[in-house]
Amino acid sequence: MLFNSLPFLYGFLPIAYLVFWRLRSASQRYVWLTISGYVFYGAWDYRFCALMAFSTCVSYLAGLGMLLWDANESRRRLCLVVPVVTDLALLGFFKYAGFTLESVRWLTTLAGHPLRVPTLNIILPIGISFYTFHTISYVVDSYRRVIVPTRKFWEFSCYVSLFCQLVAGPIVRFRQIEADLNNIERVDRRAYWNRGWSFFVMGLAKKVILADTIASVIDPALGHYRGLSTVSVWLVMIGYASQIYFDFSGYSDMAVGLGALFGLRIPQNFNSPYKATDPSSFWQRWHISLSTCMRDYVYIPLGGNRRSEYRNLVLTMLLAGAWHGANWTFIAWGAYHGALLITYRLARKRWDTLPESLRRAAMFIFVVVGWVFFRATSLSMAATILRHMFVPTDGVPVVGAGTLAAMVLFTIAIAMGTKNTFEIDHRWSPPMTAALASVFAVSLALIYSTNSSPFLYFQF
Amino acid sequence: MKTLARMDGSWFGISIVLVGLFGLLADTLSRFVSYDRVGFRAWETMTRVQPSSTLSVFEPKRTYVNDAAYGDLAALGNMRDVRVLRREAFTTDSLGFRNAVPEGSRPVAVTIGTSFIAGSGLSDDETLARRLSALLGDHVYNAGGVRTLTEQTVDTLCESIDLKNGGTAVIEYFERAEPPALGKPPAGDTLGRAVFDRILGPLRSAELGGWLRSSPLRIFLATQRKAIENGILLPNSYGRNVIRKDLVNGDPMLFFPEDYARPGWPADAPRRAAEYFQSLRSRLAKRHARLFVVIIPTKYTVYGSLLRETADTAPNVEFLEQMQAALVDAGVPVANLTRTMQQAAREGLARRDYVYWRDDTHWNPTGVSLAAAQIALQWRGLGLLGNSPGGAP
Repeated sequence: MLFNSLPFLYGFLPIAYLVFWRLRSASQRYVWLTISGYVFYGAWDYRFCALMAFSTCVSYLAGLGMLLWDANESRRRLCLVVPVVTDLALLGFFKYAGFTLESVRWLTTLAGHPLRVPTLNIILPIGISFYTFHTISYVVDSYRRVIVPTRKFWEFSCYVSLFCQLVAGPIVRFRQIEADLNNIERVDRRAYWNRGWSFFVMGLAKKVILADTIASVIDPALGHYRGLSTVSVWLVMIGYASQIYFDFSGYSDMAVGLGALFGLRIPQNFNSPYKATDPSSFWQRWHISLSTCMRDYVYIPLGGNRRSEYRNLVLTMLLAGAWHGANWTFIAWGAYHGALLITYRLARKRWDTLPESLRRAAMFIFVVVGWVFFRATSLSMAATILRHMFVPTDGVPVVGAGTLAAMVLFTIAIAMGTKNTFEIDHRWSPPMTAALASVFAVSLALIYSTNSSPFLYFQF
Repeated sequence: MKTLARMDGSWFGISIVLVGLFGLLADTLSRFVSYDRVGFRAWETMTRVQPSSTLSVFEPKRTYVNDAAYGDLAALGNMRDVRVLRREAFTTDSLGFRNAVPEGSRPVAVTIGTSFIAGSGLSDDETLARRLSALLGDHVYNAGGVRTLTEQTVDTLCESIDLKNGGTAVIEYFERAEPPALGKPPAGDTLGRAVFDRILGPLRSAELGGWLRSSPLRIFLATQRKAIENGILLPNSYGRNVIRKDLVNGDPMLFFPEDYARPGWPADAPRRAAEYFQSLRSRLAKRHARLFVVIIPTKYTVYGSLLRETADTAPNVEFLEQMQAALVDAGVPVANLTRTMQQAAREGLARRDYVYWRDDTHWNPTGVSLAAAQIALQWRGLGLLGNSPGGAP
């Protein structure tokens, strides 16, 4: 079920909302949110609900184990290792097994000793990368004593299966939402009502009006990327930069808005990333929930800035790339950003003396180049697109290029020149309310006019 | 990392909820509006209401007229430049079948099948049944658009329309359809469907079913979207729904992707279909009726060899001829229209005279006339007119 679909807007959301606020006790609300989460998730493929339930149970029991054996370090460590290994094994099997075997076959063929490996046709459970991160972060934080594991099973299960952040994040850590979950029976329904809807409407408009319109031009254009001219390929890739930002930040805003309607404060995931003036600042602004998780659970444990800083950076970014998908293109994207971060650290003093507008523009270009790896379905496609970007090439025009150019100018102006959804106060005057209501009406009309398109980050 | 700050008041949220409710209300109310206002041809309007008491997919006793109807493929692929505008008048009788003019006499034949037999894209006086009536000088009943084609349906139908003794039931076999076989439920007639029908049957039937099925508001908004996706403002995302090819004379021709792909029916499909039709023939003989099968090729089989580009897949002539041979061997009278249509298509190309609409899956008036002529010719050759089987009167 998609947020931008009629069954969600007219079926799931009203029922989930009305029943939630009819229930009074915390445990009832936990159970209801869990049921809602499983219905929401099962709408894609009910078979994978069992996988999420299994992962939930393992991590919950590990948390209980840590409470039980609080003074026994070896048993506590066991309670850390078992769920983490279990979760990573599930993630590894469903997400990376096919890719690994395919890579082995490719590498051995390249080496002249082709190995016959079976072809696996494994269906990737939607959102597995996200809820796996939720459970792992819970277990690791419990082990580090950052949080006290909950004894309430339904509280934990509703945290894992919370529908608003289940399939595409933000990656909410238990500690970030624990207070709201504990307060769930006392929360005032009207407390975040306006803000919730404001976030939701803005997120919906970002996705349906902006991202989907851009996608309708660039997807067919990239279908024949070999025939694109240098100008076209730049236009398309800048368009993709807009698309992915408005698609993913739109989803995150909707998640924040929906969470607010249920009295849960989902943290910020994007902080105007295209305003970044250097790679370090970009990663503090883009997909914040992932980058902070990577920092806390990978980079710092590897040694952080204290030892082998550059190695740690590269490993962390490679892992961040691989987290996005089982494809060499994502690993290349991670490596590219790792290289950018290292280069920035080496040349920081000189870079920071440049005018801010120049740094911002240059950083945006660097990010756009990185998106080539992210969007390409193969390294050869990425290489072709990059060649067309940097070697003047003639080609066929893009259908809808005028619309795309206008959309790109508009969206980049918004992304770089306006406040983001967490910076505005969401106190709307009557004219602004009318304007946003009209935007919502247009979004609804667009949803009515076509089949809803999935969010880009669902694939991860 | 920032989180939400608290804010009182609720009027903004209420206004958004009201907009959502207004959208729902508009959708609900629009469902009381006739499809006539938003449809591009008769089919969707006429199939919106399907009383469970009839054998037909069409609403009984209904007339639809559109002076600028166009083809299903042009609509499906949003290809405005290929539209062939024509007048379409579609009238149904009390049984829900397309018979505009009430005939006093008992029908001498009944044509049974899908949209080809019903005459999708044609006017009332251009259907196969009407052309056969004109050629034979006798009443031929049009039972195209039958809900599910089973032996029982054919039997019931012959009884409902009071088919003359010695009359003929013309059954369509369309190339794309899965070949029939004894003991196999018709397509879509599964256990799940049966359970679904049992539960939701009352809801799906008649007025409420049509009301639930689709929303004129959605159709209207999709039409507006198609206008924007004109290949200039935005690329036409609907284009992938159809296959567009140029004929050797330069005219564009649209194909349904499933027609373009060669269906992989099992090798024994013709033999099993022949057994099925043999059984049906015996059943009809008990009510002193005859069976005649018409094999209708897809547009791609007819025009595939006349495309400017070399086709990726070969037209499916061989399979249709195997089907024809199996039926002939089983003693089932059959007309395979494939060669006739192919020849007419080839000969008409220079004159831009086609046998199928360029913007539609179905045949046009020229194609129907050809089909009627071949069927009538074969009937005469087989002596199917005027004599009843088994010496019955």
